[in-house]
Amino acid sequence: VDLNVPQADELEISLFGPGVGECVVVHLGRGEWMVVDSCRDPDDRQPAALKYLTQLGVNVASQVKAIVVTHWHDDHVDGVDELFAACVNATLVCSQALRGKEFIDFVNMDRPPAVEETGVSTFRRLLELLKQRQAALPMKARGPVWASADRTLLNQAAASNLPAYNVVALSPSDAAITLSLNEINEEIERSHVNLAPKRRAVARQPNEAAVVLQIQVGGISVLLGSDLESRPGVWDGWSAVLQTQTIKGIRSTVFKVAHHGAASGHSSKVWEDHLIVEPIAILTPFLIGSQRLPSEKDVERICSSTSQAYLTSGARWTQPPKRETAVERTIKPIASERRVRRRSFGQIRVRVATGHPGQCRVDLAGSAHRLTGSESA
Amino acid sequence: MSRSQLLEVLDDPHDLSLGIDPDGPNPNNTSSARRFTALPPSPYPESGPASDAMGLGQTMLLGPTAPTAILQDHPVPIKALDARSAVFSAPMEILRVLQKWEGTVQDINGTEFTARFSDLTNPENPPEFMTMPVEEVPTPDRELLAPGAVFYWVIGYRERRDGHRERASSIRFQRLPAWTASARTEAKENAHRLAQELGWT
Repeated sequence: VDLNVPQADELEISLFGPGVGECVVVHLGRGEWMVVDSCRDPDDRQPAALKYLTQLGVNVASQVKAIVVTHWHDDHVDGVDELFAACVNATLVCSQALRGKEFIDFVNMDRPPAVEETGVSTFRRLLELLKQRQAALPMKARGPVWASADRTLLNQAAASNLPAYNVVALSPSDAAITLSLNEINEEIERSHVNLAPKRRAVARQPNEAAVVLQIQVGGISVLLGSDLESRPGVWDGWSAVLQTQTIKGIRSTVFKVAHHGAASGHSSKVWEDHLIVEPIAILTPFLIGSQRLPSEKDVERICSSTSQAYLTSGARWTQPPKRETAVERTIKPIASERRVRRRSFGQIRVRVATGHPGQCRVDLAGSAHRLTGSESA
Repeated sequence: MSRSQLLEVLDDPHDLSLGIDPDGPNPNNTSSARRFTALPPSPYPESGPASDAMGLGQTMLLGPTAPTAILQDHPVPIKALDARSAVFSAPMEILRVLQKWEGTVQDINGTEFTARFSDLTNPENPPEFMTMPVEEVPTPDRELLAPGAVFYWVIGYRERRDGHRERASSIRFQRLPAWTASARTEAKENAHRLAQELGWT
C-alpha cells in the first residue's frame, strides 16, 4: 500500500493480521484516528498500528483519539500496552463486561509467563499505565471509557467540508455483562475453593462480551464485529446487537467479519438487514490446535454473501525447524503431531471519500488476498 | 543454578532415571557406591516461571556436588543441611541439556493433550504446537494437567562418571503452590486497591 495519509474527508479502515491476531486502524476524518485491538508485525514485533501510523507520518501522541480493547484474549491485545504508552492522549475504551473488581482480581490471579505474553499479562501492564496516566485526575474522572450496547464512544459534528463522525458500541448487552462477570467469578472461585494450582488464565467460549462497533463517517457506515459470537436466546451475542437502537435502519458498507469468519460468529440477519448489497467483508484468520478459521465452509458462506471478501493472511501449519538429531529422535516417538504456524502478515486497507460512498478503494499488502470461495484460511 | 532449578529435575521421586530411588532408602542395599538423595520437594518460589527456567544449554550436576543433594541415605531438610558439613566428591551423573521448552497446555483430548511450546534453547524459533500422550506426563504431575498449566520439557544426554551416556527426556509441570486463603485475601485486597486507584467501581 502507498504510505500517503488519507484526505481529511476520507474514511480509512485498515485491518492487520499476522496469522493469529488482529488490529483495526480507522481514520475518522480530519486527521483523527482510532485503533481497535492490537497485534504485532511478526518481522520486527512492533505493534502493527504503531508501525503503520508512524510510517504514514501520523503524530500518534495527538492524532490517535481512542484505543478500543474489544476483549482481553491474547490475539486481540498483543502490544496494546506499547500502543497506549505511545498514544498519550488517547482514551482507553474497554468492554463494560470487565468493569468491576472481579476482572482486576482475575488479572491479579494469572501467573505471568516466562517467555510468552498472554492477554491477561498485557492487560495488567495496560492497567498500570492507565493508573500512572490518570494519577493526577480526580477519582471520578479515572478509569477507561466503558463500552456497552448503544453507548456513544466518540463523536464530532460536521465542520466546513469535514464530515461528522460517530462511533457507537453495539455490545456487550446488559445480559452479556452479567454473564461475563459471573464467569470470571466462577473461575476465581474454582481456583480458590478447590485450592487448585495457580495457572495461566484461559479464555472461555463462547465470547459474548466483546465490543462490536458501528462507525459512521459522513454517510458511510462500518461494522466491526470483533469476536462476538451468537448464542441461543436474545439477550447476548448477535441477537442482542440486533436489538440495539443504533443498528436499526443502518446498512454498513464495510464489515469486519466477527470471530474470524466462524459459524459461531455468523448472523444471517446482520448480512440481510444491516449490510449493503455486496459489502466489503474483511477478516483475519485464527489457528490454534485443530481449530482453523475461517474453514472452507466459512469461506463458502461468506463468499455466497459478497464477492468482495478479503482475508489478511492464510493460516497454515508448517514443519517445525529441524533440531539436532538426538533431540529429533527423542521427540519423534513422543509427539504425534508437531507443527508451527507459517509466518505471514497482511493488511487490507479500504479507503473511501465520504463524498463518494460508492467508490471504495481496496488495497492489499503482504499476504492479504481476496477470497474466492473455494479455500480455507 | 538455583535450588528451584535443580529441584525441577530432582523433585520427581518416581524418576529412577535420575538416580533417585522412589521408595526411599533401602536398608538392604549393600552397594559400596554412595547414593545421593534429593531433598523433599518444596513449593517453587513465587517469583514466576522465569526464575524457574533452567539455564540454556547448561550442564546440570546430578551428583552430590549439587547444592541441594547430599551424600547420605535419608532426605534432609534444607535447614538441616545448612547446619552440618557435607562431604563432596565428583558428580556421579550430569544431564547435558540439548533442548528445553516451556509448554502451556492448550487442550486435553482423552488420552492426549496439545500444548504450545516456546523454545527456551533457541528463543528465536517460533512457538511449536505438539500433541502427545498424557502418559508422558509423570504420574504425580497428572493432576496438574489442565488448560493453562505450564510445564517444562528437557531433552539431553545423561552422562555418567564412567563415560556411559544415554538420551534423556524429562517433562515436569510447574508446581506453583495452590491458592491459600491468606494469599487469596491478599490478592483480593490488591485488586480492590487497584480498582479504587483506577476508579474502577
